[in-house]
Amino acid sequence: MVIGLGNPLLGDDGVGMEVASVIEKEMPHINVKKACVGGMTLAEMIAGYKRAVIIDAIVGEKEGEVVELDIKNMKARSMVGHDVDFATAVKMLSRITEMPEIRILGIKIGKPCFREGLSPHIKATIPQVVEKVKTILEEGNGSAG
Amino acid sequence: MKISIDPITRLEGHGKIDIFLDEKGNVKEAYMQIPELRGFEQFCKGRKAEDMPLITERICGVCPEAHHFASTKALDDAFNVEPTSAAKKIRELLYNAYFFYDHCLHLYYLGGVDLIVGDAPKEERNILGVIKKVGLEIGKEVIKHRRYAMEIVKTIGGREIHPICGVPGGVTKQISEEERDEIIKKAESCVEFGKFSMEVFNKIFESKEFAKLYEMDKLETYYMGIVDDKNHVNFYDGKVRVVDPDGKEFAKVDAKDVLNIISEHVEEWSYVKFPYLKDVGWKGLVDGKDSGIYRVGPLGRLNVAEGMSTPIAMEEYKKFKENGIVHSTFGFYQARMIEMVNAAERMLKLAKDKEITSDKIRNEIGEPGEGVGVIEAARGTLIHHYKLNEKGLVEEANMIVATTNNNAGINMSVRNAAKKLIKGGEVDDILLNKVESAFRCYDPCLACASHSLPGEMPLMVSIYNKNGLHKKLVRNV
Repeated sequence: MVIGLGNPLLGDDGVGMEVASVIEKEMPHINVKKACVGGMTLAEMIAGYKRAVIIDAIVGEKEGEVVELDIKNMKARSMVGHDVDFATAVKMLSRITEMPEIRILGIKIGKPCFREGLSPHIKATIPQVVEKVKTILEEGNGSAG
Repeated sequence: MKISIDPITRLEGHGKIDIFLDEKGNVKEAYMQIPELRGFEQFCKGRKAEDMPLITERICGVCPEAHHFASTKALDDAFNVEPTSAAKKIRELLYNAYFFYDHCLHLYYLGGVDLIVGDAPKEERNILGVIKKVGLEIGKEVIKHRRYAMEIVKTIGGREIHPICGVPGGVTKQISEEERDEIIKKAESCVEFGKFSMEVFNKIFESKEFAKLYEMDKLETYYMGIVDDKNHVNFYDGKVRVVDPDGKEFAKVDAKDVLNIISEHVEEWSYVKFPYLKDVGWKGLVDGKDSGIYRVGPLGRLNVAEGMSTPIAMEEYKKFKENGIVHSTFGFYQARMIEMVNAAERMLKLAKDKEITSDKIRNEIGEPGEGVGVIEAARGTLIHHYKLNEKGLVEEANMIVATTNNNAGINMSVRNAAKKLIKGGEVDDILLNKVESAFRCYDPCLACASHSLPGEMPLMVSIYNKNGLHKKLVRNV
């Protein structure tokens, strides 16, 4: 499955959802979801699938750069208040249910703020990210979802 | 000593605790700063009123249903329309499903960690530690029933997590008989899981460890929450009731009048305001009958209520309130557990109601004006207030979220815990975790608008001694 994460009301933060919309259109056989959820709900959403590709905006210096994040490098930590971080959630769920192979693509954006629509330079990254998602899905011989 | 506030660099922000030590290294003062959602009200100006439930539910990645329906209710009021009886029941059914899965998250995955593995080493002080202690099978049941409740939200709301069904005067979609049958099956299972969870958590609540936590922080504040016509807890609708620290009714008002009974105090060290009861007044961060500070959330709701609307929850409520009003901050957990059962029972009751599949799901709206919508979010009273122009566009939007309502209480709880636990300047990880556990009781939303990976939401703890900054710790990253 493919999940585009983001908050469309936070400007460039919505880029993951935009990528997911393109995938949904171009690859109708793939299970695509768009979500704005915390770590535990996200982990619950992908539980049971073979492979999950997650696309999200990350705040970083080189805006527009596309990076792949390795979940193994995300620190599982104790919680602060209101949600569990994604790495901990996945680690936990993997002990009690089937968790997919997870690939995470991050698009670096500046500080998010309340506005609609993407900046032109972030919008320009969409074709590149879509290609990356397709490549990942092909690597899995189309077995995603 | 000058207190500096770190700028909030991202909307997700971070919680910040400043602890000030005296010459002996004991705690003189402690403050907790909660990051505030800024700019949202401005963003809403000029929007079509009917878009507000869809926009505001994006404020929070964790409890969108609460914003969706607070907004929808504000529009009911602004368009001077009463939703149909069936629409109210449909909304409430969805809302109880949200309450169930949200409370389940906090009890098992989040704050419950403090109750089950609170003193464990750091690496086990998370949900993995909980699973290790309670067993994998319970973990599976938690996932299953959270999923059931989310599926109910999707069936009724038209979309996963972020409902699209709320419109002024009603809802957009009726429930079919097939959907109702499916909801009933899931709700029955949730009731059974609620009963089972009650047994699991009651054992914890009866433990010596919990008794210590229970005594750690007691605040004799006022409380606020919504009640139905029998003064029973209702998450979705009713009057806003306030009781004083003795449990005596202080106010009971219609939702639209709630803004008349509160004011907001500003402290220079906090971005977030401190709401208080106008007629009692702001006396600083102190409890007692002369201080207008009130608390909301599960503890607030059970304290303002005279009972629960469903039988199993009612039985537990009676035990919980056996000695009257409960001031222990850790009582939030007991109240949350009772509410989780109540939400499951209520879901089932509403799903079995004949009217739930009615096609009378929307009433005609009136002319646009001003409206207030009040609802109980899982973590407390949530208020949306809009002013619409004659074209139905938003001219002003103001929201008071639950964590803001609890801002004073959270600060006092952190201060009390720090004072009791930190002595002679000795601060270690376990102690700090205990201090933090005081605010986790409130299930605070430190991250409205947060959703993002890698999901880090650091808490900065700064400890100052007489010479200035003594230690700065980035917690939980």
